[in-house]
Amino acid sequence: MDAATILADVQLALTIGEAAYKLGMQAGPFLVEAYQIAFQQKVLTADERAEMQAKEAQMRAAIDAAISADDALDKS
Amino acid sequence: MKRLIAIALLAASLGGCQAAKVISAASGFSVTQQQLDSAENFYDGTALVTLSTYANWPRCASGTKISVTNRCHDPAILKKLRNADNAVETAFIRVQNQITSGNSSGAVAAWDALQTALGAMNTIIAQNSLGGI
Repeated sequence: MDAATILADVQLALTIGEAAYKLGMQAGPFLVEAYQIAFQQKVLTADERAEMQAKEAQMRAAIDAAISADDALDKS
Repeated sequence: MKRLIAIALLAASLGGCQAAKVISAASGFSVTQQQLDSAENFYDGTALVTLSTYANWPRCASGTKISVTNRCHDPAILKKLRNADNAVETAFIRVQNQITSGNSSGAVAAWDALQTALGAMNTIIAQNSLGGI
């Protein structure tokens, strides 16, 4: 295996690692919360539930913005 | 990354299905606020976060597809997934409303509808071969 191929493989691994890290950073808090509720008898307060729903709304707004941008591009 | 989306959604669905089986099997058992909160957080951490990440990638150039080195979203697939997510969101709200009003049988029925909505999302993943990277 030549040096260029090895470098390309390393760069690919770093790309995948970066994507997984970013996804994990976002997903982690939700999954920890889900685990604590399911297995450690944590009970969400009204404020915590509202915070969760606010984060959901934020993510859905980002998705809807991307869809709107796609639609605008299709019409132009 | 598409595989990741598929896995995340599949995991969310399978987790939900297992919970639904428990609920259906136990006589007089109803969906609790804790079960709902846990399921919703799990869905957020797997499906919604992944879908949001997918949407934030640039639109795939004409004639190209998503790959490890070409992180982009397909507009048609994104729209289908958002519609499916909208159904899941509605189903979560219905379960919450039934729990809030103290309607146990209604909560179980709404929970079943939630499983159906998650299943529909999985179908979209399968139909578009999103697990194929």
